[in-house]
Amino acid sequence: MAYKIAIGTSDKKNVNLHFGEIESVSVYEVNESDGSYSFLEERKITRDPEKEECESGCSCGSNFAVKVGEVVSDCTYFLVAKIGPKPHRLLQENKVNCLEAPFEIEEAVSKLNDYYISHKKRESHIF
Amino acid sequence: MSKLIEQPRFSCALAAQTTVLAIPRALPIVHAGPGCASKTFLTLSQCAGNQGEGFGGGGQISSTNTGTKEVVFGGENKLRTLTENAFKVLDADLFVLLSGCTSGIIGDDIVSIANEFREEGRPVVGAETSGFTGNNYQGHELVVNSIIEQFVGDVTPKVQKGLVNVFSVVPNQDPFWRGDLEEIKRILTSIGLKVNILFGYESAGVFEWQNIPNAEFNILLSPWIGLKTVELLKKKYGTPFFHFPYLPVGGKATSLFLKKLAAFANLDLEKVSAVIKREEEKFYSYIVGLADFMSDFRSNIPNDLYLVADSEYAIGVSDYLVNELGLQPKGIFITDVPPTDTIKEKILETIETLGKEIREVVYFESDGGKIQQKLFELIGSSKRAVIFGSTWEKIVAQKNNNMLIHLSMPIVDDVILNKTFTGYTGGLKLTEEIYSGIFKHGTIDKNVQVL
Repeated sequence: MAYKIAIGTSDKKNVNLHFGEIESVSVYEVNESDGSYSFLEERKITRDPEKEECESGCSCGSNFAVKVGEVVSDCTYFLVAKIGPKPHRLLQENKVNCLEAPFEIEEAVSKLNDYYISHKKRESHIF
Repeated sequence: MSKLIEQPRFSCALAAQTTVLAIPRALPIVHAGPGCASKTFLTLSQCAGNQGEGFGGGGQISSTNTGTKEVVFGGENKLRTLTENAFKVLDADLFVLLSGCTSGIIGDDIVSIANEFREEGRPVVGAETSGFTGNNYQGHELVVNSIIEQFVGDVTPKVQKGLVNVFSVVPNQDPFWRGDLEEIKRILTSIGLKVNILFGYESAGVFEWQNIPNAEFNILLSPWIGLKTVELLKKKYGTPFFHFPYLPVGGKATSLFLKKLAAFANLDLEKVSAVIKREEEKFYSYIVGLADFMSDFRSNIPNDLYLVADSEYAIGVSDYLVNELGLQPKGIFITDVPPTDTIKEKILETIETLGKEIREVVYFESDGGKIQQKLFELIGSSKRAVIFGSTWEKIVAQKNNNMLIHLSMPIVDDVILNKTFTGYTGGLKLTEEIYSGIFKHGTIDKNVQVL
């Protein structure tokens, strides 16, 4: 089965964007069985600080974290190079599994897929 | 399947961070989740008679605080960076990397990271102390053996006559470790030996550890903890070892220890006998001085002995209390779990030599709930009991206003500095504790005129 992941990347090679720098996220589809992945689409995140009020308490001037959360809501994981604790918590509250992975996309996806498989196995074992 | 226990009396293998901290100028670097280092610190420092942080303990312990990121993508790099930075801000002669459960499960290889640093000439050792590998008795052995294997390393021993290494109590797990080690060193020095005590304030730190291979022989004062270490040293450097299977307490046991040691190592018998004579004379003079007190308060002195401690302490203390002070053993609970049945049998054999009456009341139990239940059952309504144990036994003692003397972990309502229950000094201290206890604990009969 395949699942989607969102990545903050500027060069489509490395997970290199900090959460605060993101203007768009790249969505990939990962094939669970062999760990192969393919680029699906680029999703733009529009910023409009004047109209938005901050809900994250991170003094960023917008409800940016919530907005990103909505954009990547169908993705199982969201990889960024770095993220602060407050937006991370806000994403978690919106059921977005955000991870810091400052590596090459290939390396990150292969490790992530291993984790995904073992995690799934464990969950099916528990329930 | 592992089981749950109530009222624990030891911690997990990672708690061997206290073993590292007990070596002067050695520091642990913990590769585990947030909270692991601080919780084991609370368990083994605060709950061991409020011993405090010391040099670089407690809140100062470096930890990688592994989280989801490290679980998914591996935490080796973070540990590398942390160790690198530790060198910039921490002043120590030896760093020991310790792995916790998470890093053990995901398979971070901390031993090879330590090797990388050692290749650069930096003193770093790695020990796989994931919580699931065992309790902190085993963790202690693991750390000690790792330091010997990796830091002391393959050297050709230059044997120095009269130099000995002492392996005995587990720091902090034995709340009186500092005093105990000082007393052991005092006794051994008095018979003319040069002692590598390895832990505590009387140790010369890392230098002593590097001197381990040069010892003439090793002394193991413990039923099983440290056995692997002395066996390793025998294999690695060909150093023979003398095994005395408990901590000697009081005149009889300490003299026996010294006599056996003298026979093992062909020491100058005259000198050893002179030391024994001098120490015994002093020791028994104090005991004779007690006779007046004992006859005055004979009806108030507690008689029934209940003891909860690990095998290291339980054997020696009950030997002294039963065979020298004449208490009646009613329940001896050994709380550490010997890793094999052979070791368990050996412990029982040792106890058998000390007296059948002790052997008959020995129970191996690590579950505090069960110990408490059994204690209630055994003590019943008796007011003549003296309980040696931990703060957990307070409830049992309070029920009939019996006396409780702190002997084993956890001890939260006491401050322990250099108190010891080992050797000649320890025997006297223990005697003082029991007999002062009848005044302090209110067990004294109201009809007795004290003044």
